[in-house]
Amino acid sequence: MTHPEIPSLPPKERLILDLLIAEGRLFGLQLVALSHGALKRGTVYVTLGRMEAKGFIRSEQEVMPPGAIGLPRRMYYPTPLGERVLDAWSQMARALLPELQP
Amino acid sequence: MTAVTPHRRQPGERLVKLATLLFDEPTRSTFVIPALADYQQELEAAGASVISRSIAHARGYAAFARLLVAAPFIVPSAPLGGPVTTFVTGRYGGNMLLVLALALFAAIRPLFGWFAVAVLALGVALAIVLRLWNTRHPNARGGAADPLLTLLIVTLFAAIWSMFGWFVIGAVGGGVITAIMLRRWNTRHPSQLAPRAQTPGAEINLSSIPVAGDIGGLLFVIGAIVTVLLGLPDIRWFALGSVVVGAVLAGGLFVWRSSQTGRLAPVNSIDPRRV
Repeated sequence: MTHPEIPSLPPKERLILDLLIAEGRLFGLQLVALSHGALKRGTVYVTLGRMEAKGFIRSEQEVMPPGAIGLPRRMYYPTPLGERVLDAWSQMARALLPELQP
Repeated sequence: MTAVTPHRRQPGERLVKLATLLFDEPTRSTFVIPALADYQQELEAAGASVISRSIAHARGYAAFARLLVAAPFIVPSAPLGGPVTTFVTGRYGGNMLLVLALALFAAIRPLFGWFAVAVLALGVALAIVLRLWNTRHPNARGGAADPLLTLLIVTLFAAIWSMFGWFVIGAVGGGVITAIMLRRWNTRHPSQLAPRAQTPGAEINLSSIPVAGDIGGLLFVIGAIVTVLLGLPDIRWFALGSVVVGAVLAGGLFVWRSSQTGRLAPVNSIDPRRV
């Protein structure tokens, strides 16, 4: 019996999903601040881009107020698929943890 | 008559322009612009404090540099490659090759002087010619560039003749004999060393050379070490120490991984077909 490819969920993506599900919508810099050093400013957007490509999160460009200067930031939020993947991963980890511990 | 307000440069404008040259639009809007927006936001939050602004500047530039280097490795499929890098080295990872080429030049310039400049210039010119030729002949890659590569190899051997003398002849002869022996062995043992059915690209790309943990890989490593030692005899003890440390490290890793079999597999990489 063949199974479709199940997307992986590395630790950083897990952390991002955790934070987004807990906080709702966040900017990249807020994710970096809330991760207490686990996420780095230079690479967080690459990870976010990869997660968006997998369908775990979505993003929207910040709406700038009239007269505002500077580049618009991007706000990220979890998708239902992302929430289900994190939930499934957590259940699987809970089920397998006793056997995987040395 | 109205007074013309001079354009006030926004922080990060230069980085945006640089990103325009190195990345294409989807990559810029997904990875680069949000990072630069954070940089501007942090700079604005720093206010007028010189120290806070300096820290924000340093963080912003460091994040941009890390993004530049890390993106091709973390997301290999990311369509990196702006107008400059696409033109010079192709669409994927071109910026990394440029950075590596510049670093290589900086490292060998004191040793080889203008010879290094000439070699690099020739390499870049050849890469551009090959890229243009490949772009115009997409269905004929592989064979047509062979004379050009042969010419390059002959030029290379002629250039290093003054440095290595008769060793060049020995190297060519040894290489030919080794190649014939490998070919004969490969022909007699096709089931173990069958070459992959793929047409090699015309570009000069070390990553496309199939070197693995076999006799070919061993010869490649030994040849690289011998070449470096002949070219730079002053670092022979450093090279020997590196080999010893590398061997010890590899052995340690092998022993540790062997003892940890079954514990190292991450939970989320479990094969669902076996569950």
